[in-house]
Amino acid sequence: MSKKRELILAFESSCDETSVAVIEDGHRILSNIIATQIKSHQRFGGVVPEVASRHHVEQITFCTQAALEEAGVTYTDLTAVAVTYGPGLVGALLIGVTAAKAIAYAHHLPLIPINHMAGHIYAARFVKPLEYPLLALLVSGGHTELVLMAAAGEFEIIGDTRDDAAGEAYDKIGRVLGVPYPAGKEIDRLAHLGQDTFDFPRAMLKEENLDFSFSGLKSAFINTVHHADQIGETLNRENLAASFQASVVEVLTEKTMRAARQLDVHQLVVAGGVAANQGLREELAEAIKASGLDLDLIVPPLRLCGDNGAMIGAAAHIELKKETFANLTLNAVPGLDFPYRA
Amino acid sequence: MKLLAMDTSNQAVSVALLDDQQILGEMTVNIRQTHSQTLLPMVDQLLKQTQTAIETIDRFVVAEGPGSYTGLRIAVTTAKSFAWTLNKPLVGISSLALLAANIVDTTALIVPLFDARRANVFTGVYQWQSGSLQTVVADQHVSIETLLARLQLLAEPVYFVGNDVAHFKEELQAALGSNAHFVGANHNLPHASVLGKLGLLAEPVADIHRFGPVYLRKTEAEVNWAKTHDERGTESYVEQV
Amino acid sequence: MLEFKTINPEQTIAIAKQLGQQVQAGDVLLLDGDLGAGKTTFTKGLAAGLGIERYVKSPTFTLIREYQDGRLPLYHMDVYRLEETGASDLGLEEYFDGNGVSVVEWSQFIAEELPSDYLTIHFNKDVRDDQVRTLVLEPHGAHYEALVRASFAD
Repeated sequence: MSKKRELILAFESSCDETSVAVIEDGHRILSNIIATQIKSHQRFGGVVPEVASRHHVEQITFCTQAALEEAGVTYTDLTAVAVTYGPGLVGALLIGVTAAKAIAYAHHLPLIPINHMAGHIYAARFVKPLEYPLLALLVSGGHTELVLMAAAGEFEIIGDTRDDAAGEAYDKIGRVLGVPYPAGKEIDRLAHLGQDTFDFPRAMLKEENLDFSFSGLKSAFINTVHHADQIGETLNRENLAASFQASVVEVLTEKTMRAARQLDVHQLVVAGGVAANQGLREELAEAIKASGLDLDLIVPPLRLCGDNGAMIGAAAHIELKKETFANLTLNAVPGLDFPYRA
Repeated sequence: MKLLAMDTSNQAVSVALLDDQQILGEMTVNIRQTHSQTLLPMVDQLLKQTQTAIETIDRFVVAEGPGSYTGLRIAVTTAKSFAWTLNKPLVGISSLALLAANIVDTTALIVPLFDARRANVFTGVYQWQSGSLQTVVADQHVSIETLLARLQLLAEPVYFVGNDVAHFKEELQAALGSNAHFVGANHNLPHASVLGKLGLLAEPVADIHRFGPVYLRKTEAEVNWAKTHDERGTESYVEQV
Repeated sequence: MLEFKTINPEQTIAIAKQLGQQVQAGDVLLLDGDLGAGKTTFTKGLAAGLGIERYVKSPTFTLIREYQDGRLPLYHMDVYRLEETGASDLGLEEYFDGNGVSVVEWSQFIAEELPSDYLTIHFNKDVRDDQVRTLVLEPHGAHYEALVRASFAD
């Protein structure tokens, strides 16, 4: 008799994507349905929480059905149900949590609570098996963290932003440049057309720690544009974008490489929405090459960099082995964090 | 027919299990709490106490709104997920009707209301006609001032129902005088058994996937956006990628 | 009305810290100023005054960040993304009525949701020097007048 397949039905609804996936053995995607609300929120220039929650309710069972059908599995085949319970927007998280709880309860399946950021890291598992200890750079609209994983399912923040997240800085200077939300992709494109001529500050590079700061860069950018406005001068948008991105990418790369040198790691996972940034991928790849370190850069494919259920299923595979199960009182935890290194 | 009914539209959570007209069990908790943490444990306890397997439920009934948006979505998402995943019918009942149905033995007008803040209420007008609860004025989001003006025109006795009635008691009394009637604490609280009875008779929803709360209000973001944009002809705002 | 001129972020933090040592449960502070005017810097100082040791990070992404490790909980809200859309759907009153201190950035976008009494802090950047700020503390209601007096007695 062959071993029963391990199949996890995974839910993700932390922000503006409703996603449900079926994952086999933590690394095979049988289905990964993603319903994005981006067109809806573009109307408002950013995610409006109540609108997001309303869309999630309309999508949740529909996406679940599509995920099961595409995977060709039924409830009796499933091993467990997994769900993102934080961090994220509380009203949005609650829809995934509530639906996952009801479905797990109805079919007597264990429920695995997953930290959304762990999911982002485990998106890399679809590229290749992960080897520990491992270093991860998590960069998104809400996070900029260096995470050390000593073993599977163990996370420790060793570097963090002290103010704005990198993705957030992109969106904020995007407003100044008149780039519509979400601004990251367009600024990345503009940056590739321009030169780093403004020499914006590189925050905290001189400090020993592994922390980041993007608030000063944001202020310097805004001041530069406002001063030019006051004297009626128009600055080159491509060069502004290139200079901004050069600062962000340099700081991210420098601190990440510093961490990699301090730790005995052979894999670097870059994850989160900003992992899609071409400038960041290029610079990291070059820095690793120049360093001579035996460090394997793993960046998940674009579709798995954004929010999706598959990554939650991959992270749940580890928690299933550890038997990390939630009970019926599971709630959304919008401010959920990994522990900090003592 | 076994029926599981649940309501989380406002502060209280109420769940009930019925076998046709017979109430097998009911549980109501009325404290300030997170419905996400209380609803499913209450359902579980009710089913265990009544020795009922969830698979044997024939129909799920939920208070569909109006109410507090986040709270409302907990019972709606739970009931919707149960009905869909167990392949059973789902019935949505107005959260206001469920309160109105607390008042029996009268043919006077019944006005349930929820405080919607900034001097607005969610309300409707109900009446028992030949043994069934009828909607006289559809549920709506309206200013308390407008509601009072309309009720004054009717010049009929009115029963106000709901825990939030207390917020407006003086205004209601001043406007309607002796036509304003108030009810006791037990009648101001939602009871899922009452919801279940309404749900026995109602038509199940045609498409469970599309079922969602009846908010009775667009979000402010959408209202403001619509003022300056033409929404006709736009494709869906949510798409699978 | 009380006015301070600060010439660097450290001075802004020091002023906020003094206030942080006096604030009480249920207090609501509104921070009013442009992008990069020092609102988050001020909040860091306030958190320090409350004895909070964690980094105070921008709350923009999740709109609200909560800090529970101080003398009182700190609720830091940024409603910038709600420009022109309002916030009646956010449940903010639960924070304002709660047992912590609420700090709201970009509160002009949720004017209708605010309690009647609060302390507004205006941040004005100096047009000649990017480092220089004028902070204006404007209390609304007797409670906040007393808070400002207690914080800056001399």
